[in-house]
Amino acid sequence: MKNATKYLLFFRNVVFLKWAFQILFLFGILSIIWNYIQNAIVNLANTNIAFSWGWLGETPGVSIAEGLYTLPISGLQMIQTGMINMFRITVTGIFAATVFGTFLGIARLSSNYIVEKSSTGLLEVVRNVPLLVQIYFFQAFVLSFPRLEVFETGEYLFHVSAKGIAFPWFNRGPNSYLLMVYALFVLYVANKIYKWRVDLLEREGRDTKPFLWSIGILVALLVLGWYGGFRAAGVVGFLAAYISIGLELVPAIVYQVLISSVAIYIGFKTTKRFIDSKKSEEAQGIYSDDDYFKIILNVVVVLLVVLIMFSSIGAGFAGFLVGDEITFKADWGLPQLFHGIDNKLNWYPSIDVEVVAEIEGMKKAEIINWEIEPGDKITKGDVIATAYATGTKIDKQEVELIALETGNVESLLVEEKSNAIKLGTPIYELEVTEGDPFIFSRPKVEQVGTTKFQRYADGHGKSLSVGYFAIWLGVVLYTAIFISEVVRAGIMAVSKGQSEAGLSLGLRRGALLRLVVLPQAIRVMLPPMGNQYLNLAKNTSLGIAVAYPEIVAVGQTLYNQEGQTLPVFLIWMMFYSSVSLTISSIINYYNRKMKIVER
Amino acid sequence: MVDVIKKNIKSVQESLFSSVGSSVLTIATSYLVLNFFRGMFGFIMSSDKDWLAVLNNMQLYMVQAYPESDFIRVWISVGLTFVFSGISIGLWRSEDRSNISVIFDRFFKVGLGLLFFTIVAPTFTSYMGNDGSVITEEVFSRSTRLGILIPTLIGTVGFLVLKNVKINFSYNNSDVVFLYLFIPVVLIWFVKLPVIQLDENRDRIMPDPLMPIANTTKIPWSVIFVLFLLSYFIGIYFKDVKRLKNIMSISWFLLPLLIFSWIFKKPVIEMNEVLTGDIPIFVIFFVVGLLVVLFINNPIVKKYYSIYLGVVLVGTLAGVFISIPMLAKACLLLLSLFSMVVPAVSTSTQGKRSLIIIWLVALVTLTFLLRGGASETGIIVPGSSIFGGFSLTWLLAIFGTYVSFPLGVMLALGRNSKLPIVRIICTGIIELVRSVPYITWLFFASVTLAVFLPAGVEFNLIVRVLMVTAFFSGAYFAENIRGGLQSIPKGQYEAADAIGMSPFQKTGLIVLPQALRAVIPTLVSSAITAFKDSSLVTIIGLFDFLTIGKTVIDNQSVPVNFVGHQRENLIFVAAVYWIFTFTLSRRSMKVEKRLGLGER
Repeated sequence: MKNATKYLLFFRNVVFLKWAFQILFLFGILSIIWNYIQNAIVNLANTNIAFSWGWLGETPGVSIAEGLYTLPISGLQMIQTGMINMFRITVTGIFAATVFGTFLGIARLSSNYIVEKSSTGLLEVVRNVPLLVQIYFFQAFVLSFPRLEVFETGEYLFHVSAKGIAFPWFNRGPNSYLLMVYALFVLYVANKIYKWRVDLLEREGRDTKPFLWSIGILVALLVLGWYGGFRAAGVVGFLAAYISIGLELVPAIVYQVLISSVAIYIGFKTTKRFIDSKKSEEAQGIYSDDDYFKIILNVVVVLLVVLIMFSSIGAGFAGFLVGDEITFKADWGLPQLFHGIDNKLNWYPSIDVEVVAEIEGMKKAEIINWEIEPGDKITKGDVIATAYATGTKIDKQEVELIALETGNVESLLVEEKSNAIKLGTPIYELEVTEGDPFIFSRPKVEQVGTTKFQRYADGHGKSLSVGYFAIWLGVVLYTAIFISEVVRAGIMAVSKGQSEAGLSLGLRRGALLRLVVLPQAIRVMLPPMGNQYLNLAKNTSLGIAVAYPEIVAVGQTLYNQEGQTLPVFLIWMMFYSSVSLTISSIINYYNRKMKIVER
Repeated sequence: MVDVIKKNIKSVQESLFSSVGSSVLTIATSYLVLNFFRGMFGFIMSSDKDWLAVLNNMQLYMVQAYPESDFIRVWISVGLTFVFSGISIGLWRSEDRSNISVIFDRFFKVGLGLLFFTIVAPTFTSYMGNDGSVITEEVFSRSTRLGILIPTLIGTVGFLVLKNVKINFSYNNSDVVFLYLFIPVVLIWFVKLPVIQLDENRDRIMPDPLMPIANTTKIPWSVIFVLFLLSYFIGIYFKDVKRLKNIMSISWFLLPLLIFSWIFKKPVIEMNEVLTGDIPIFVIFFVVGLLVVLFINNPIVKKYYSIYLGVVLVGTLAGVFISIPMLAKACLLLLSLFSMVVPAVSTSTQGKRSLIIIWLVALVTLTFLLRGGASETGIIVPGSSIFGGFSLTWLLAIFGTYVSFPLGVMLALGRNSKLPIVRIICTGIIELVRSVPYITWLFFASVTLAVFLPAGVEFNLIVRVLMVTAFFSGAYFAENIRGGLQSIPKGQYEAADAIGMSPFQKTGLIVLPQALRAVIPTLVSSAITAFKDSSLVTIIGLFDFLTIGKTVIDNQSVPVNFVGHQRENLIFVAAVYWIFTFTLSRRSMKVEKRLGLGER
């Protein structure tokens, strides 16, 4: 038979036809793509807008409503702001949607008629209305409240106005980032202790109270941390600072070589593993045409990666990693990243300190002499200035102004020997270095300078802009509904025998759900859950509809400014693809971890 | 009777107050739900809402600025759709029957709901005025409440009695659609609502001449309803004619094209050109196609088929790269496609016949599209957008599905293929398209796509959006269909191979029918998503249903000032979307049940 195929006409050979067709197909696709690219080149030449990335380093000259840099100095910084705004919604949204969706999913399985029907009703309403309509409705709802200017200034518990909504919140005080890093470390320790106790329980068979132990140690360490133990986390800052210094010495070419060699290594490994698998007894070392293709494809992909890494694109990418500030004017690269971590850990809130009454009846103060200057360290109780105190019921007399907080003086807002100032006027800026890491406060409506405009004060409670509120609520509600379906399906997929077996062992309802049903349900739930998280991340792009400056909205502003539509589109594509990849790889990781280990 | 009440009370207690936790949950949820409904009612009824902003802009909502003189085109299209649906419902009517008491039961439940909400509806409502003060007002007076309560109570009790009386009358489940449609048709004749009239000062007055709100549409709707009913009976009458079912399927395929060029274009057709250009070309193509089919099926050609195919393929490949007219390239491509498909399909006389019919239909469609679709438009619409309102939403949804479905099938087959290059390319396309949100693709359509088109070629924004939507929904359809393809057991492929089927036959006759049947529910939910997603075109500035509600009416100050009434319009828009998607998802559930999916 083998000889017979030899004498067949070549175009009757299945393998020949197969590859002829595929190469034809490839050429067809490539020629279509090439055709469009040529069109693009001709069209761009006609419109005098050359495709370029140069605008990334130029100052766009527009401002962003909210975010990290409201006045970006480069296109890249603007995009960075958009990305971080997008993550603000995605990360908090995923958390909120998961919690709410799980509750809703369990409610839909409830035996309680009213609970079940009302959750189903909510589901049917939210699921069948387009997300955009919902977001617009939330926006219109908040905007229908009166302007902020009609409300009196002062503190409120909750506040809604056309400017957004505000509510009480824990605001970051001094050393809050240190405490957060410390808390992560504590969580890790508590988790380890839980595992150790469970292990002991399984080995010795006595009740080792793993939950109580881990919670106890968690609370103890957190209390310790709150009263100064957080300083231990300063080590991370030191490390980050040194890594940053080290990374600054690395030239761009090292990254190019590094990435290329990683690609070569991975390519080599996979090919070798493939060839080894072919040597097994089953395969008998016979290679089909597909196998040859696979090996060739591996080589081609590796070569492509190496080529790209040493082309201008690769050089630009390496420039990113090095943190080429001259080209991009953004603190992106790896050294800046670590430097940023160090900075964040040494971050202190800065406040405007106001004049308060030092003696009874004091209404105004007239500063005679500053005892401090910018850069000074002051402690609570220090004298900061001498001033004349005036009032309607008291004589003009000299008083000493006392510091109320410990910290570093940043700048003085009032000059010596100037006019008398009212109580409550800010006189100097202070970086507070001591105090509680988190401060619970209520929202406050304040007046901006001498204008009649008002705003929600920074550092008092939390205020959300209308756009943020609308997109966040819309996306969370919409995703939670779909997550509830996933949770419901997951729980229903666990066979009834499992819960019956658990009940017959004497488990209580909560323990049954926690120990028997949910661990099995999660396995079914994870892949569709990952899809929902992806949808949430993609749906945040609707922020553009309510003027929330996330990546798409920022990109649109940029191309309106620069006329570079194609690069902006490529940036969107790269950004969303990498977000999708990240989310799906996290989900895949957990999926693999959760899989039943079969014997 | 006492036993029944006791039993009911016991079941209520078991379901709602079985334990302390359950009771707390019951009370808390009831409190929340009740307050939500009361708040919603107050919100709807409060005097700072102007629902006339919705009612008076119905025309805008439906067709935007489409000229009134050409409304007949819209009506005929709607009528045609209804007639086709009527015939189809009649032809494919299921034999499920229900007793008349089911209808009474449904009305009884509606009555109960109405009673409940009339009782719990709040008398007063409050809202925040522009100066930050809270305004409280009466929205639901006692007399109105009684006026609704008493007739509803009588009706509900009536239906309760009717429901429990044993009437031996059953109806076909499909018939009931007409009963439910009959109610709104009657209502548009008799329900009267205030109509805005302008006085000399151009101020709005709440006028007394009460008119049916659908005054201009009541006659067309009634005619359409009668036609719908008639076509339903025609469908039932010809139920056993099998050929009619095939004809209907093809007609459904052609209907959107017809409607598209009918409403969108008002084609200006010159008979001269048609007689000298179109008809000869049409005839030539038809005859040549016929000859090619006969030629390929010739036993001698069949014997040396490989040589023939090789020559044609090489010719096509050469045609792509050498510079010959575009028409010649297209013809070569057509020929190679024909040469590959024909021997696979036309093994029998019937196959040959259906091939010729498909060829004829495709030619008719193409000619029609080229004549009607590419000709100058005869419709003059003020503003830049020729098409808007609900018609545009509908068009985007239908055409999105219509174009993307075949694309999705092809991509799914490609991704599932054994040929590695094809698989890699299809996977790449699907993943690339899916990883980016729809809105960025819409921006691509509105600003970037023009860059890639040949110089001088310009498409309407709607067409560009349709092109992008085809790919976007196509990728999602492809993923759904791939799920179906993977669910087919290997034995099916092997069995097809064993009886000597060609790859095309295997795919067309064995694999696809089973795969598509398995994924009908997910396909429907994807279509629903596409319908909902069509609202995103608001952001790129098309005047779809949502844009009308959100922007157009909110900016309306002439002749009547409707500024600041966005919420009412958004609620209306949401309700309309809800009705369509909810009905569709319920229908798909029923179809799923009828096909017995998910039961194995």
